[in-house]
Amino acid sequence: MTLAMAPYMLAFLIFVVGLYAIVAKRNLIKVIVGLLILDYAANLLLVLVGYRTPAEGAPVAPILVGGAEKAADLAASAVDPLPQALVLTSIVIGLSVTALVVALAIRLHEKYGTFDTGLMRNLKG
Amino acid sequence: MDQIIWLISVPLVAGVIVYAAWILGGRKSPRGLGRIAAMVAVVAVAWTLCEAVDLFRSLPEGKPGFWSGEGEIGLGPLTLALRFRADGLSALIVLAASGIALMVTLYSVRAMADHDRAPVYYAWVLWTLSAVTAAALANTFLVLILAWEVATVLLYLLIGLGKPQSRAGAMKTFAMLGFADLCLLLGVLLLFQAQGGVNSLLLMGGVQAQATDRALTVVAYLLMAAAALAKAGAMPLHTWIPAASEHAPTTVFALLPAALDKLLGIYLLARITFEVFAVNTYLASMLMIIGAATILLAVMMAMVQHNLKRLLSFHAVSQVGYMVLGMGLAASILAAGRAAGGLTAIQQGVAAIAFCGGLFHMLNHAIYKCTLFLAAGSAERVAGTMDLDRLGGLARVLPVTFICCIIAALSISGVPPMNGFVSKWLVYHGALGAGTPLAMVCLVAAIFGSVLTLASFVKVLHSVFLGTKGSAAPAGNERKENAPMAIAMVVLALACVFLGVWGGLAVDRLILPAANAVGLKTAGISATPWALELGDAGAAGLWQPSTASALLVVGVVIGLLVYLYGRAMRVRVVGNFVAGEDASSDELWHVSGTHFYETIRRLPALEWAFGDASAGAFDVYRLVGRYGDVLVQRLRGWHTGLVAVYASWVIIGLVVLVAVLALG
Repeated sequence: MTLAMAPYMLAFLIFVVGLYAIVAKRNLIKVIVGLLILDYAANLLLVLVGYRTPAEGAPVAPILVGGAEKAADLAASAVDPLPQALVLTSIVIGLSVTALVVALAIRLHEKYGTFDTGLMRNLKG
Repeated sequence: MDQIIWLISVPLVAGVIVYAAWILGGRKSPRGLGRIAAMVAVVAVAWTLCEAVDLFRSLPEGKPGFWSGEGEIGLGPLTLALRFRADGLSALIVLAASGIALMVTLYSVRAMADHDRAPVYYAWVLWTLSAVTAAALANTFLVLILAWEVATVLLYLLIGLGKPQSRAGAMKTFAMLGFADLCLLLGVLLLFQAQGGVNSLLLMGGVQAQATDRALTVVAYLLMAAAALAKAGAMPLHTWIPAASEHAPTTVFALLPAALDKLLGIYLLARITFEVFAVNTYLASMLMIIGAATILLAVMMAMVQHNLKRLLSFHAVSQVGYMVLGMGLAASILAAGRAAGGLTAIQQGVAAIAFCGGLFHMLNHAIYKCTLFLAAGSAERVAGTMDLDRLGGLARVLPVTFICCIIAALSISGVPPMNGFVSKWLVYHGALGAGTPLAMVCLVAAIFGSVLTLASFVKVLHSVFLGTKGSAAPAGNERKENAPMAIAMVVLALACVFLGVWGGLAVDRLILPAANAVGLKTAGISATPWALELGDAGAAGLWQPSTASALLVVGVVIGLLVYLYGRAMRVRVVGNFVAGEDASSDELWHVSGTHFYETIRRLPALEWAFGDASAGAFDVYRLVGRYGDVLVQRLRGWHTGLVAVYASWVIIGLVVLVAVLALG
């Protein structure tokens, strides 16, 4: 395995951890945490994919300072800005999803008096 | 074109008005509203009938195919779907449907007067008529399927208007016909595929007939034929008719399963068999076998029934066999001719005879079966039951109903000079002309079925109208007929007689244009108002209905004279010797007709079949229910209700999807 595969493997590992929490845990809060971990894994993957090492020096954040004449320099040394912008949006979406899921969990707790999904069996055929 | 729009929309709008009045009136049916709704319905249906007659008369003479009114409603992008046309066949369907609907609504004026949802009933009947008209006049499958589906839903709703027990029958009807509609939709999609996407409008007519030489087209034809046969009620998709018959309102059964559903089903069968597809020999043989089996098996079930409506509904299944048999014979002759490289004039003639027989039987069946159901409704109104054991001796109370029922019974049994005979005679001649061994077997089955039909109507006439009074029959002899119901039955019974006595005229004016419309050369039949001659077709046959009727009338008059002579003679009248039993009460000596054919049921060779059939062993619906339940139980086992399990399913599904996409 080359070093280039490392970000993928790392993100995949975290992803599987989140998946495990969702599938195996019966506590609703833990399931939500698993969902969050999934979210983070996806974000992390995107950011890592956009990371690149310039020919010389350390990579810099893709923030343009000093006007248009510095643009070529920045393009040579900055990491890819697109995934970062995307992930920024994704974090916000993740937040609202979490808020919704937590609201549902609270509602379920009001109804069943527990967070244990094993006791919420109304879908049973 | 405008005429077609009016034909479809007037009943529709009338129904909407009636329904709106019902809603605005707080969903209660004061007697006044019911009466007004009935009047609106009768007027709207009568208007539709007038328009239908006008449409039929305005068809150009002798030109097969399209009437010049073929056109479309401009609706922008939707325009492609809305195309209508009127040719001999569809105009005949519209004519028959509106005629029957007029008689049934007229009958309903009194029969449904006490129903607490009468306005809804009229609205639904009007919508049904509109849907049937639209289906018959549609030139694209899209419009046809839509109208077809609407008719199915309305049938479900109308059956549900009956007694509370009618829900189960309605559900069964909806399930079976809904499945059939799905088949139709699938068939149309496959046809579209088979035509290579050329016919993007899904036009029914005016397109090259699709040869059934590939698996794709054969399956498409079979699916569409299944839809048509289920609607018409041929075996093995017939079981919704008897199941729904017992508790549904009688007028609903007289209107839909007895008449309009037959018209629709046979209409679609004729269209797909002769116009959309060029059916091969095997498919045609299949149709013939279905037809013959339906005739024979359904009539044997009918003979042993104890409930009048159920008995009539089995006859409604049985008679479909003649229509399907006629179509199958015509298709098989055409297929044989095509396989041999070209049709001879004789083959064309015989095919036309068989087709005309099937189609004419459809029209006749709509008329006489409607009469029979209306007569049954009349008897039910007086006696309050349809149980043959408890009926009897109603002829004195319901003389008009009795006479109409006799005429319709003779007609359904194919006794000359009634209309049923003319169409059955044409089907028999088609079978003789086809001459294949299978056709001969079907001919025997058809004739035997006809005899059994007569036998079972002897039972009906005896158990309902003759003999001593049954326990449910009202005491006393005062007449209980009422005008609207009697008029409807008398008009239909007269139509039976008229179409029989002037059979030549009916075939010439009504049936031959329809046969022309689906591309059959009708040179074989020369019909004059007084005679039907099949000389040109090599199937030498001549039926002069009017002469025969005159002879029959003479025979009856002679018989009457003999009877009167016998009455005039002085004979000794003594009381019956009953070996000392008490002979004073009718009750004690009431012989119900329900056991007339118990012998047949008890025959060792047939006992198992009747037993299994009564238990529903041959009922597709029940079989699907029973074996489908095993599958359902398995699936239920998989529903644990645990979120984690569902999440695992989702993840496994995703993995499979990704794997397929990555590898594929």
